[in-house]
Amino acid sequence: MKKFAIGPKLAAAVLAIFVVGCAKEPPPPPPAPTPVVAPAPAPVSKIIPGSAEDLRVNVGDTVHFDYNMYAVLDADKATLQRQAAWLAKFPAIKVTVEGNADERGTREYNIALGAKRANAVKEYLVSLGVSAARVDTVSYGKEKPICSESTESCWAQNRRGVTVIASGANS
Amino acid sequence: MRNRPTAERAAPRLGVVFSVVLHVGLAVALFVSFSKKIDLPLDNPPIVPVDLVTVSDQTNIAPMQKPVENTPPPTPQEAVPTPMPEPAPPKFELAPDVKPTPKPKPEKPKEAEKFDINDIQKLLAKKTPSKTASRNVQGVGAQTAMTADLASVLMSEIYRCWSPPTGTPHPERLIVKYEVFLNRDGTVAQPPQLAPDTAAAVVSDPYMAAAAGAARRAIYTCSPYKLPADRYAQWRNFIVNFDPRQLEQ
Amino acid sequence: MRKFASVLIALAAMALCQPGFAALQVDVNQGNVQPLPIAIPDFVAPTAADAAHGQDIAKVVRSDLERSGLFKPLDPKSYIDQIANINVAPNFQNWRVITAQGLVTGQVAMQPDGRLRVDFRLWDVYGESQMLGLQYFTQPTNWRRIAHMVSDAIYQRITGEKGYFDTRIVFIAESGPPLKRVKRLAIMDEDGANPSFLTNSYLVLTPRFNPTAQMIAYMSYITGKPRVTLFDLETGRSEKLGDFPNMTFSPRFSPDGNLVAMTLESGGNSDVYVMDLRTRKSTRLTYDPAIDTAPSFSPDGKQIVFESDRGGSQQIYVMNADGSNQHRISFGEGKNGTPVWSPRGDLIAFTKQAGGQFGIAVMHPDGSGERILSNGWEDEGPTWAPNGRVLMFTRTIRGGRGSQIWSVDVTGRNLRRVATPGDASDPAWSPLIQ
Repeated sequence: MKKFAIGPKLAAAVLAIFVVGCAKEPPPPPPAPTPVVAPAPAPVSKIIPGSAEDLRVNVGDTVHFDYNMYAVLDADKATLQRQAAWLAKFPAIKVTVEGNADERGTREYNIALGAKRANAVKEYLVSLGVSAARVDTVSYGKEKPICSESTESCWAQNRRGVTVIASGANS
Repeated sequence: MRNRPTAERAAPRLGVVFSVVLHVGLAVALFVSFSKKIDLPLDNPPIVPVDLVTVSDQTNIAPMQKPVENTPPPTPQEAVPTPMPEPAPPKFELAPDVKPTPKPKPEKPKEAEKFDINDIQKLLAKKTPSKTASRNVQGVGAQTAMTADLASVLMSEIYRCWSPPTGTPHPERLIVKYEVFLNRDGTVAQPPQLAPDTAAAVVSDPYMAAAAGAARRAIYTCSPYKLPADRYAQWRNFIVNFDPRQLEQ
Repeated sequence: MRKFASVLIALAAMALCQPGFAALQVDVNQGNVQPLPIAIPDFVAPTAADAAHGQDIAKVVRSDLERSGLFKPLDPKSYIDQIANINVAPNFQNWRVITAQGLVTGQVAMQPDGRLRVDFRLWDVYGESQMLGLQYFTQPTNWRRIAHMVSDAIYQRITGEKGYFDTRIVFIAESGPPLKRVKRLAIMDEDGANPSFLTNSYLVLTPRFNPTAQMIAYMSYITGKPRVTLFDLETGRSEKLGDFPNMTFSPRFSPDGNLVAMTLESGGNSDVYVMDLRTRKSTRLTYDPAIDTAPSFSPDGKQIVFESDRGGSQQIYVMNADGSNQHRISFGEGKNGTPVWSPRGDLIAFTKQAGGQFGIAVMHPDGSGERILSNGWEDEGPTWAPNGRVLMFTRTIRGGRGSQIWSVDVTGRNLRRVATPGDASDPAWSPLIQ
């Protein structure tokens, strides 16, 4: 049991080290209900601000979910806060949130579960001030895995919500 | 049923009746065409073309023993299988001391929509022989201790040959009762007779018809039966009850 | 009616006066379930040109009947007799010797009008009687369908229920590596013959036939969002069903073909709707904030079975076709989903997830009598043969190693892989072809 308790803490510690190590600015205030920008990793050269690559690399486009759940995890809130800030910076951009599930569910159920996950991400972004009209959702159920092994670590990667640009990207 | 009064006539004329019905059917069918042609989309590039629907017509085979009448020109007809009359009555040797009886026809299942009052009458007519066949039986009534051992021998032989219907919606209904007639050498003397209470169900329920068929095959495939010759009088005919209730999955 | 009554009376009277049906009574309540040994020699042909058809048809009939698991077609090499003329009674003894209980004799002949004539007779080898005799005319190119119709006729005569060989399977053909699967709508005959693709490479899922086998409803991502789409096999046209802002999925036709039950998603919530194809009006049937999906009509069209996790886990529910009286029927182990009502009405097949496995199971519509028919890493999505006797389903191999279609008898016997051109999933069985 203790082992389980360590997990999140360890992850948080690692995350903190990572954030401190990479960020030039001071770390963000702990729980941020307002869209305070979480510091993005140092911009890599040649990535155009407001592009799909910018979203994926500098902001972070993916959040994950627990098995059979669709609640946004605390660990992922920073990512969504960055997405909200980024969307505020590029008001022409519209996005689609893609909900995905692992293979351990039936096809139709996973489509429905992916829809709940995509919607949970959308609602969180909207709560941070993003206009609902700028965020569409879609579910791929278990049809678009990014990891094909039948292992828990693979399934954890596949249980995800991915924010992609639908229109208005800079290029 | 009312529109086919001819069918009420006696059995010997059934052939004529059948012929009339068939010809009327063909005449009607002449006006109906079921041919269809369907083309698959051509706008999707990597498609192996497939012919979806075909023309399939079907008529009855002419009865075998009769000189084949001039076959009517092939006529499109709906693909509904129609049971055919048997070409020839099966021949069976009768046990020497059993009075030859009119050969009863084996049960012939009909589709539900084919249900016809005349079929029951035919069925009744066919039941008559079993009365004569069983007239010699002594000790009519309940099973006696005298024959219990024979019953168990027969049971242990027959069950191995019985492949009961499986996967049916109501296995508990499919109890089939046959009267079996054996020769002294244990071979089947004449076609087994469906018990009256089973016969009606066979006519109306295709699952019962299939169950009866399976039971009948069991009776035949297990013969000749190895039974004590000196007690032939006790086993020359018997009732066998095929009951699938205990063995359904 | 009066006549019928009199017959009943006669029948009853007969039952009473039948004096001793025999004294010796034998009760057989054990059996030995075996496929029926049957001999199906090549169909005879008057000319050498027709002989190939005769061989081909007999081969397809043997293969059909063998696949059902209810017949054992005997190896033609074991035959000690030949059929030369199907219009005389066979020498039954020669077929009994090789243990055949059934014998099929047939004949093919090209007609002057260019059509093929196919006759066959089914014989009871031990009873020495004809059980069935039928004749077909067709274009020679359609010989396969005639063979399937012959198989169906034999199957029906022996088992008491209609066959399913003259049917087709619509399914999802899969290709490509595990992380870049290409899924296309495809169709083939029940025996795997004549496969063809119906769509290109955009994602499609869960196809279903309408009751005339002319229309397929499926889920298509062609516009980006999954939408229930209708594909007309006659015209080759496809059409998005309804105009909804969000996702629509898991379609299934009503038994009369006039309605499509499906799932509509709104604000992340999935609920069951029914759309009338004549008026294009849709009616919402479930209002629960939980996931309600995978609807399937009862054969009388009066009820709908579906899955919901409203009780905390994915389970199976039944409601009236108007949405009233929603109640849970699955109370077995694990999670249960993708219910499909048998065309025969007596059973509901579904996907069961328990103990780390996915299997196909059946139960009665009241939830009683659950039986597991298959068990695998990921067996899911059952579809019924039109006679309610056999199921097909998707079997996905662990570790992203692809999907296959398998079939199993409703008794749990005869589990076998269905031949498909490549990887395949989401099979849907057509009704008997009209």
